[in-house]
Amino acid sequence: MNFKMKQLLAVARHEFFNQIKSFSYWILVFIPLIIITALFRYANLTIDFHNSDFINMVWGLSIPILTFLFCFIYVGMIANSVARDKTSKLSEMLMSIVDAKEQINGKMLGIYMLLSCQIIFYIIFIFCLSKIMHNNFLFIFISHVKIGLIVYSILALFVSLFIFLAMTVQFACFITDTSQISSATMPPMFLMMEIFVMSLLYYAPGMNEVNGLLLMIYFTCLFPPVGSMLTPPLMASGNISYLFAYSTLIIQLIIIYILYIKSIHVFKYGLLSNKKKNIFIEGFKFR
Amino acid sequence: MIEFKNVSKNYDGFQAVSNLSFQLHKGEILSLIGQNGAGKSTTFHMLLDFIKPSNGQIHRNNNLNIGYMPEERGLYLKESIKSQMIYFASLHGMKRVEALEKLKIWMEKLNVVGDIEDKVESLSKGNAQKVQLIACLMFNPDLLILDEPFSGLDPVNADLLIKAVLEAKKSGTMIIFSTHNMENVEKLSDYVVMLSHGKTVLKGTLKDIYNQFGRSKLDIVGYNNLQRFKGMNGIKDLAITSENSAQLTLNDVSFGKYIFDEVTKDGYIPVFNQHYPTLDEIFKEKVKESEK
Repeated sequence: MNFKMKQLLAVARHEFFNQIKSFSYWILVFIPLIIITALFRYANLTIDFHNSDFINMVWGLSIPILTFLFCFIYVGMIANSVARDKTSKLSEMLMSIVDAKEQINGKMLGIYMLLSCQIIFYIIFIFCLSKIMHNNFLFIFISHVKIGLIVYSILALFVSLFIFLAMTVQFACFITDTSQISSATMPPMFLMMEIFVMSLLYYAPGMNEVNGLLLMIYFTCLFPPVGSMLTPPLMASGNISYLFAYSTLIIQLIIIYILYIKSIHVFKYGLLSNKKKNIFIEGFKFR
Repeated sequence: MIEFKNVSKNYDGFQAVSNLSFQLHKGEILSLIGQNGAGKSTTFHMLLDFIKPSNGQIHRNNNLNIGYMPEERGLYLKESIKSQMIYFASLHGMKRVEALEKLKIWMEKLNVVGDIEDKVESLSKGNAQKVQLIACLMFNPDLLILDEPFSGLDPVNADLLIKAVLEAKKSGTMIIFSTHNMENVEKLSDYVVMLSHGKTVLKGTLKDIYNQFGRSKLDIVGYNNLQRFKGMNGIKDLAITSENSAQLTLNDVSFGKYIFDEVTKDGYIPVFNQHYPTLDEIFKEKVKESEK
């Protein structure tokens, strides 16, 4: 393993253990568990598993909700992490040891480790709940979803999270005191909410019959994070083919790479800047 | 080796550093002296590759293990000393066990009051500063950059820091530091670079610098007729500090012999000390000159 990789892993480990020890992380992890438990306890579980339209619709609606939930949790987390480095006045010292690229990658890897941990925790919890309540509906439901859709949805979730994290970092690196953290998370949160609403709107009656709208949606699917959040429900409803969906993912990854290079540059500049600046303007500035 | 070759840095028309050149070899200490805004931190930032010079070249090995203590001190307040030192050490590629061992040794050496499990927020300012210094020193850096390392330290802790820096020098570390404390420059430096508004106004070894100015300062105590030296050609400045003592600045060092002959004509005087100007005096004079 080369030295840069070791540094990246050290940053990821530090990020992971710092967050996993925090009370707020566990609060955010536990809140969905209450909803899941209520679902097991009170929901009418007479699901018709042979109705693939219904299965697809539920899956198509669930993915944007889950993506929104995970992005919501981790956008705040990475903003806090960057803000901690800045307000602890450690950014210059860290930059002298680790490149901006390894710092960003390490932080993101730490976040992905937390996400994986959260998903594994949920799976174990749901498994135990199914055993206790003698109700396997969630596992049966997932077994009826096409594997290609599941794989795509997971990839899209990771892509969405990546772009929201990279975007947040661009704003958070200009934070000079902790009161500005919310300002740094606002632009990605607004965007996230807008796309989330768009993906839910798509399921409104009659919306999928408006061809012009569909065309527009096809076009916007090429751009991250809109595409990564919109394509899973579109795929689930059968409005776009798997080939189209996976092709958009490739285009999105190319665009993400360009944005990611820009965010490293902005991150380095922002971390070394000590003057109090307008976070919105600095984050959007083209450098 | 590190080499700055005619390095300049401009920010939107403002010249932060102009034509700076110096070399630093293994086991040498270079001090950067200058007022606030003289270009010291900009020089460090260029050396650390945070910013690129507008002109000139900086030669340094890219694989140098660097310990940097910026002017703005900081640590993760909510984390324990142990956890963050292990983190910094791992960023330098040091193993956890080795890092813990070194941390304990350095905490003892720098007399840090507290336990490794203590959170940084519970430490005093001086102790927190020492912990940050440990973060720079514990992994045996090839290059140590200290921006105002003595600010905020009492004389006892400043001496501990000097000892630690000299120990690092002995082990072959290249050290570059900035300070306003000339006494510490004299104690530590092999080479001095004095900056004023980004321009190098003086550089060289301490010996070279002192020789350049010569023994132009003269202290006389116990001579009653000091007024007679007023307006003499060989004397640049005469400051009578009490009835029978004065501090003189000579235009010509050899004029000291004439004064000595004059003041000892009447017999014994307790103090006649012709000496080099202090670095502090040299610094003030050079700043004045550069502002003219």
